[in-house]
Amino acid sequence: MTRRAGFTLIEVMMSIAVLTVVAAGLISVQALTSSTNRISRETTIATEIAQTWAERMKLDAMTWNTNLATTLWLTDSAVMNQWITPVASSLAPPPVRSFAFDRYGRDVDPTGAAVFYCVAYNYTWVVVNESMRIDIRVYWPREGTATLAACNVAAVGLPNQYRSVGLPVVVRRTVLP
Amino acid sequence: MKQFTQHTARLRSRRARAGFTLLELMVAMAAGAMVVSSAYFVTGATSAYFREQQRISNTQGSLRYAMDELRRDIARAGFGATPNNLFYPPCQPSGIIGTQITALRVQLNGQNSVLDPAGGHQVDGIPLEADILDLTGNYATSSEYLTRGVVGAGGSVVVDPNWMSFTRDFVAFANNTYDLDANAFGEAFLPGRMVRVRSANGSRYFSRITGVVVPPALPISPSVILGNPIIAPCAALGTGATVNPVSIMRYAVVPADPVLAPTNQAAAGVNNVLVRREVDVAGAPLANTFNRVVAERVVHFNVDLIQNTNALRNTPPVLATVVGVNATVVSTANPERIFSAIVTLGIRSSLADNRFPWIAQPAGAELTRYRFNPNSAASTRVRIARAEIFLPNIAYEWTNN
Repeated sequence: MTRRAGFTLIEVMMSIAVLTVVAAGLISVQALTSSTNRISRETTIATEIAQTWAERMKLDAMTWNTNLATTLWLTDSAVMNQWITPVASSLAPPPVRSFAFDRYGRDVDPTGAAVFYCVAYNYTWVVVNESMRIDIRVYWPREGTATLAACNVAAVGLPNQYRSVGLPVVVRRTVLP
Repeated sequence: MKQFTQHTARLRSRRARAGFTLLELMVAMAAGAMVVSSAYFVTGATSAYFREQQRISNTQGSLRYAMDELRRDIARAGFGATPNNLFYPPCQPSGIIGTQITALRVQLNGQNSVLDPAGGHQVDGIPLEADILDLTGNYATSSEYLTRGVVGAGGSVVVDPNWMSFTRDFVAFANNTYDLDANAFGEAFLPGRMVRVRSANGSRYFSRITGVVVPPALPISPSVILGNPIIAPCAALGTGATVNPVSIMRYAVVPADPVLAPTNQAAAGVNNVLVRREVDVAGAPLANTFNRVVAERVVHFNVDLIQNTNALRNTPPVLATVVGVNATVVSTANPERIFSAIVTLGIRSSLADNRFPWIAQPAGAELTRYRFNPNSAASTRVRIARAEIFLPNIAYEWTNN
């Protein structure tokens, strides 16, 4: 058997390994950049949703006059000190005020296919029947976690699968003249 | 022996031919060229990718900043002013300034606000919103100041320079003495800006600063008369009346200053910017104030409202959303019953990305792509943020007074 000139298997393997390492480095940096931008975008939208719900709660507190029965969302505070999913309700005409939002931060049907962000609350009295603290939590799936088919408050307890942002707000009863 | 000789000759000839053949050289050069060119394309694509990601990041950052600005200003609407001077004690048939003053006003796609002027507020058939938002309130200081009285038949209000809010805002410590800071006072009470004079029981009189302010006196027109009721049942502006500056802050989408606009508009598009400018009651820019660019490359600016449809103040509010064209009517008809504003702002990235092709945007869908050149196959990315912003200065005043 004649000896032919060329690279040995070891040399070829080594060069392929080096190329793979370089390419993997480049690709992972690109993936990191784009995932950082995506997370930043998601966090921005989630923060806007949390602030929007804080403002909705302040607005709702305008209708908390003698008791909570007249309010849209604050009536949920019958259940306190635990995370709950709010009731869906709307202010006519649309858009619906929902606790579910699509990827662009628009209110959507909470059982529909477009759900991406969900809102949960936790109510605590500050002064009984006068003011309450509402912890607002917006959660959405991490990469690798399936998109929520419907909002499920249990996701708040699964930080490895869902990202979240939180915002507390205090509202007071509005006394009519 | 002959064999040995032949072998030596072959060795010699091979030694003479040491080096690469032309073929080897060509193959090596071709391989080298392939490596170099692939490296060139890979690094080129990588850096183009990173530049685009940088543009996306910039767009998102600008959007966050702009929303913060808008939220801060909108939440302040009506502070130190009035939800509606025709509703809250005007003390003159139409208020002494002779025009309606409201905490918040929306003009839909107003003429002074331009988006894509050639396309008539639309991109490839999709209408773009470019509302004008006017916010009225005390945006110059955070206080109101006690008055000492009026001089010159009500044409000049004198501010008490010993009152705490006055010393806090307009007195500077310099050269070991406390001196009146005339510049700060003059900036707060700029000529052309409005003032609100409020009696001890809450009646409000709006007037305008007419000339150069010599602290602590404010030349105003029309005059207010302190000490006498102007029109029953309005209260007299006697002891305890306060005064504060009132600004109208306008948010509008306008083309960027040509000096700042990109030189190559075909490559970078028209730069429409969201500006915050102070205007007078007639809507003209106030002298000695500046436009501030809140966001660049704006493609969408829309304001909707949530209004209390219940006209009775001592019953629970009934809230309804006002979307689109009705907003103008509502914001002039019952501005004292607007409880929240819903703001949507969209910004595009600075350059079109060839890897992000233009796809026709279905009507009514969220704007995700925008192309400034109708003949281009590439589009820019759009980032949109929306927020509901509660208006405490209007809502609490309506419900509690």
